[in-house]
Amino acid sequence: MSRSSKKGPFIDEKLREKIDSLNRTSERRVVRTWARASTIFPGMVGHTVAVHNGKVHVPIFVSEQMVGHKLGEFAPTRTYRGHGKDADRRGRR
Amino acid sequence: MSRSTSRTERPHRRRIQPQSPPPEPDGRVVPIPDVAASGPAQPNTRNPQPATRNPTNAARPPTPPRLADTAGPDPGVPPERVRLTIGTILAAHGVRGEFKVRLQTDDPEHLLSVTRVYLGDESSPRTVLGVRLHAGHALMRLQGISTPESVERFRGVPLRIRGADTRPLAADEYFLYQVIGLEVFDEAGNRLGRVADLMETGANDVLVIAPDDGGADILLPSHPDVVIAMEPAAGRIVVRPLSYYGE
Repeated sequence: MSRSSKKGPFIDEKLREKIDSLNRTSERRVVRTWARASTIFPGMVGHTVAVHNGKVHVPIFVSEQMVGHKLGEFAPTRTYRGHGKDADRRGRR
Repeated sequence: MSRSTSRTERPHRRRIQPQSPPPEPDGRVVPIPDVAASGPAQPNTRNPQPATRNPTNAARPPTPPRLADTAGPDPGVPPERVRLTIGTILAAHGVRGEFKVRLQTDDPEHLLSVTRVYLGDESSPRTVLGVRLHAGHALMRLQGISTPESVERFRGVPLRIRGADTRPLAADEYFLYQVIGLEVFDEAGNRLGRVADLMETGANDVLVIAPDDGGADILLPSHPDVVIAMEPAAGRIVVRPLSYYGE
């Protein structure tokens, strides 16, 4: 069952306060968080959020397409490597 | 009214109680040693267990190797001179020599236009007689493989293509082998370590940098704000280290 729309999206308050303070000062600093269930809100676009995956904080650069998703969707908790470094795979800078 | 079959009406299992030891002829009771506490007298020869086995990690699969520990070309080799793995042969499909390929490429659609592939470490390429995508895998037919029995001989063998036959790289793209193993420097020229792995997160890729002093890994997003210059030919990356909130 999905979350009631009356409540609005869940956003971790401490995370929101930190992002808002960064936006007020126009700073770009990485915010560490354990709140994987927190929804990505529009104010986070352009910031880098380090989301805990159970072991380390994975730095995630928030883009406009990620708004509405949860932070945990972008910090995988399992290690799966189905290929070596000679695979025909590309990275993007 | 039919009888209900709720979970509460399951037949009750009789709990087996440990039997008390039989008395000796003189009336003395000899205690039976607790086998569970003292362990079996004879070693378990059918399923021997290593002495150092940790029961908490018994069901945990082994950690896969980092990308830096896998085989592959050096970062400085240009893409035109390398062979890149597109998949691994899994099993025969049908009776005409077609086989299933577990894909390792991030561009499966490009395979439909590939005409030559290298089977394992073979020096000469084989002609692709047919390829199609099906259920997350590729079904392929190759020159020289016409029966399911011949497919079985190549089960687990990687399929490679020339770097020149891959889709051309975009301006800000790089192949995986071009970044793994590069030395990492900051803007001031201080060496931070070496790229040991790359995490695919669904958003940006994350570079895992192993410091030279063996400390904790440094994670950096592969983003133009952080990765200032990437020079595979020179074997180096210049990055801007992250500054964290509250530090």
